[in-house]
Amino acid sequence: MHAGKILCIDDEEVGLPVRKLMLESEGFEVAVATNSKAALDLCGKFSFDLILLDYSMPGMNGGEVAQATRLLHPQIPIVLLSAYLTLPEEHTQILDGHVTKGESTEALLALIRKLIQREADDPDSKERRTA
Amino acid sequence: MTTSQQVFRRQIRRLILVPLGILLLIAALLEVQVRRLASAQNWVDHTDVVLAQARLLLRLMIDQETGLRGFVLTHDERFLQPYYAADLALPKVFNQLRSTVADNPEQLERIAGVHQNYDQWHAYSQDVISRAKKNNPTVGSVPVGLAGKQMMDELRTRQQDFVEHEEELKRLPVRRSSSAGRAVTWTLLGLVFAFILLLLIQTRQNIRSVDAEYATILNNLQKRTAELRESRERLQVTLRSIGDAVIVTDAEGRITFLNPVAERLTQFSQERANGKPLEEVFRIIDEETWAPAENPFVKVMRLGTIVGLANHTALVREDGTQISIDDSGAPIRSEDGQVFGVVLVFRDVTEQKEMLKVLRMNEKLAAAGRLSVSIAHEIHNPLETIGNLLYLIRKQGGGNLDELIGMGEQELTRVVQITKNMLSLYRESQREVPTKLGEVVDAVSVILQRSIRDKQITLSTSILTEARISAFPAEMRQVVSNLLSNAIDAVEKGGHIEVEVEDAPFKDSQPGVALLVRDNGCGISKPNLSKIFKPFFTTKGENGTGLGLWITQGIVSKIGGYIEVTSETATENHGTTFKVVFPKLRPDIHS
Repeated sequence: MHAGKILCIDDEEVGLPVRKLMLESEGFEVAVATNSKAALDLCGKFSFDLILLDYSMPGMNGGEVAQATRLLHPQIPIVLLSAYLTLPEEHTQILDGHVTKGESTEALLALIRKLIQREADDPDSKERRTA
Repeated sequence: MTTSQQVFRRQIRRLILVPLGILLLIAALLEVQVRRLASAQNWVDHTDVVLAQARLLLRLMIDQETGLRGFVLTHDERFLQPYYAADLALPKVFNQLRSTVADNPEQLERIAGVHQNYDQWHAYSQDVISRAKKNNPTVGSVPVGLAGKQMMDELRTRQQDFVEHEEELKRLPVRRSSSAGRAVTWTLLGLVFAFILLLLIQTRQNIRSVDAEYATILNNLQKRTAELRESRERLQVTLRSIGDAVIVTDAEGRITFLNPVAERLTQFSQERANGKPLEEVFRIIDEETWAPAENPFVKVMRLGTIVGLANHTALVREDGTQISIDDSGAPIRSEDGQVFGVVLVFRDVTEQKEMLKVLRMNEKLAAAGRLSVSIAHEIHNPLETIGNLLYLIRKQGGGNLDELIGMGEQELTRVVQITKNMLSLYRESQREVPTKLGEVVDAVSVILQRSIRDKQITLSTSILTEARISAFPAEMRQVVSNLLSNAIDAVEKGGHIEVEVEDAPFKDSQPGVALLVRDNGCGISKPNLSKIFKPFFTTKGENGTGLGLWITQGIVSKIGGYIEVTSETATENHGTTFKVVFPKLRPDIHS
């Protein structure tokens, strides 16, 4: 049973595959992208239940990727996973969640599940986000 | 001034010339008088000659009569000897007398009369003599007495008349000259009196005009003195009110003036400091070494120009406390360029220096803050991975455990590496140590790697020398980090930054090491270029403290280096290059 399809975007060489392993072990189907361009391409080809985004990346930063995907796929919840403690407000306000890296794996999983569940329970939220 | 001089000259001329004229007049009068007296004397001498001749004439005639009488009475011819002698002398005497009084016709006439009478008497006397010789020796029968006596009396009367006239003539010039003398005396007295009067009047006039002139001059002088005093007071007030301390010395370096700020800073009052050598009141030392600093008076006199004090100068006050000062000295020159004193202006910069210290500390803290953000970021990444790994390990309890643990170790090593870098960046060395710029550049690049990657910046680093410089490593990291961070901020996304460390000539062709940070950012405008090293100047808004370059320059100049900036804002070749050159450490000092 698939708990959901997650697109994981990060440029961390070790961090990204480990995160993929961890999420897969929890039953999620995980696609990874190491840069924003590849991420946007994947978003166009497949549908995801959630996007897990790193903030600091070469090219576009996480906030910018979030803005771009929000425009194309407004229904997908976006969680920012960042090593930064504070981020620009114009980026955080369009997010569905923000988790600081290294905080706690359990907390991250709980947030992901909550958001995917909400999406399934309340399809209206899609319109809410597009509005 | 010239008009009053003319007036003075005119008065002095009058004062001298008028009395001189009067004196000359008096001299001329005296000369006339002397001449007159001399001529009167001549005249008297002349009449004396005439009178003497007349008396001789009379005596000769009396001699003849006496001789005649003796002969008549005695018929002794010997009695006639004086008679004949006089006969011989008389014509000569008559002639002499006539020629002597030739200028006086009246007397000539009288002499002619006398001569005539004498001729009569002579004829009579000849007759008597011849008759007496015939009647010899009848003595006394010849009637000689009466007729002869009458003739002789007449002769004497005439003779007397002549003499009286001549004596009258003798008295005349004496009377005349004495009356003239009186006149001259009176005139002289009058002149002297007039002279004195004139002198009095003139002196009075002169005194009056001199007095007036003097009053004018005095008035002007007083006015000028008042103006001088006023300007002096104004200057004094200015100097007293000035916010900086001012000390003035004479040409020997002795204090002549101290304003209240200087009094407060040195703790010497004007009264006590007055006349003291400058170095007694203004004791200055090098703040860092405590070595006595050069007396600014001596320095000014030596260089003859305005001089600033060396940096880090402290004033030792009378109670021994020290204050940091910033000062300058300047020679005071007279109009002809002679230096007759030195003026020293200084101010207490203790607070300012304290403030700068705080500012530097602030910038250090800000830098530490910026750095800690990037370090936190770097650490959170591996920590997150380790967290995920631990989660997986606990969950799996088997399977590919080794692989997971290996990944975990890798990430932990990363954390340790980051912490090490961070520690080395903040480890403060207590003294300057031989430092390789290349190593500093590498360490800082690691720290800033994330920002460089985020902006997709191409950073090319070329370390072309292993030469060392003497520096505090932490400060060098701050310099490199400031310059590199600025370059990162300056370039657009995808920009280029080149960092080079190479051997380069230092000032005076000494060997040096250069650090070049070159970016292709937007460049620095000309007006900004002059401000970039000033504190609080920033183009980064709230993201910058405006202290980075200021501190960088402080660090660089502290160890004897210098910074050159070239920047271009034109579209085709915009970019900025910071070139920092340090003196190279000589190989023998290395080890």
